[in-house]
Amino acid sequence: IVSYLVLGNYFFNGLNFFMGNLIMFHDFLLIICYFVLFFILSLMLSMVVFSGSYFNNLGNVVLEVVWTVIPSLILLGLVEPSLTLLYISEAFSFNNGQVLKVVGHQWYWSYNSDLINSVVQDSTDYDSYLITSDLVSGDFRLLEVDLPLVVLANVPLYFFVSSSDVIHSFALPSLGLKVDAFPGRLNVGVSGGVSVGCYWGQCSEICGANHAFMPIGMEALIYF
Amino acid sequence: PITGKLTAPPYDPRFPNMNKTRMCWQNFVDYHRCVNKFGEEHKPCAWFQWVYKKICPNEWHERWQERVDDDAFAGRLK
Repeated sequence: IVSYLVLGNYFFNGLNFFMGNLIMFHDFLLIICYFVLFFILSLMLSMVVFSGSYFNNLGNVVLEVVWTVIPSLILLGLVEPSLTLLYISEAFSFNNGQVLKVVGHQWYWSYNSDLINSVVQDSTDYDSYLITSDLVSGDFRLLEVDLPLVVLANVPLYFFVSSSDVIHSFALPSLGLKVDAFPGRLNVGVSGGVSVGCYWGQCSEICGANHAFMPIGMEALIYF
Repeated sequence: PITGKLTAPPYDPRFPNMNKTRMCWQNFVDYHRCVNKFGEEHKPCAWFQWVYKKICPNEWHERWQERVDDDAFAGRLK
């Protein structure tokens, strides 16, 4: 699954390699679920609709072997993409790429990128708040932020996430990323290169009154 | 436009898991131990400083630096 995905372009919405493959695996898995569901439902329906006796044969060793082996073969077929995805999710060498520090606060995020010099404060940290008023038509209501996390496209991204007060969670669903932010702990989440565009996420761990109002906006650019 | 190569701290096998708190702390401590032992001009010490400045949240290393300056840091820096 992973190898043939590289040939096609399943990366609509500028997902990264990992999330594209995850979506394909999910679709594949769902088709298997539909087949199983359809088969079982048809058996059940046939028992309801058609009259007849089903008590002729009260033991059938062959049948029992078949209905053990076939599901195990299905599961064996699912092992390969599942384990491959598990291992490629962390397959980054950490040697080149962009390092981004993310700190969660109540109720905003602050970012620190080695490529940005903050003009707002003395340090290179900048805070990112939800925009509540002055939204222009076409903006996303609870997702627009004043200062998004600006990132270089097409390079590996390493998010070092922590929190300054309570537990938050840095989530970018387009990238298949959810990194919890604990006070006193530094978690790392990696992503392969993303294409140019805007990515949204929301805080994914309940953190107080405005937990729903601290979105994550990320812009991937190729030109600074 | 950005020119040059972007570098990230390489994989440190002492800290293989997702929790890099200790990596941040260890590089900070190693930088100060290196500087105490070899002096501030010793170039290799700058490696540790580069790593901890890259990965540690600013609040953390700034707060620790204040404590080091006040001689109140809770790690062995000698």
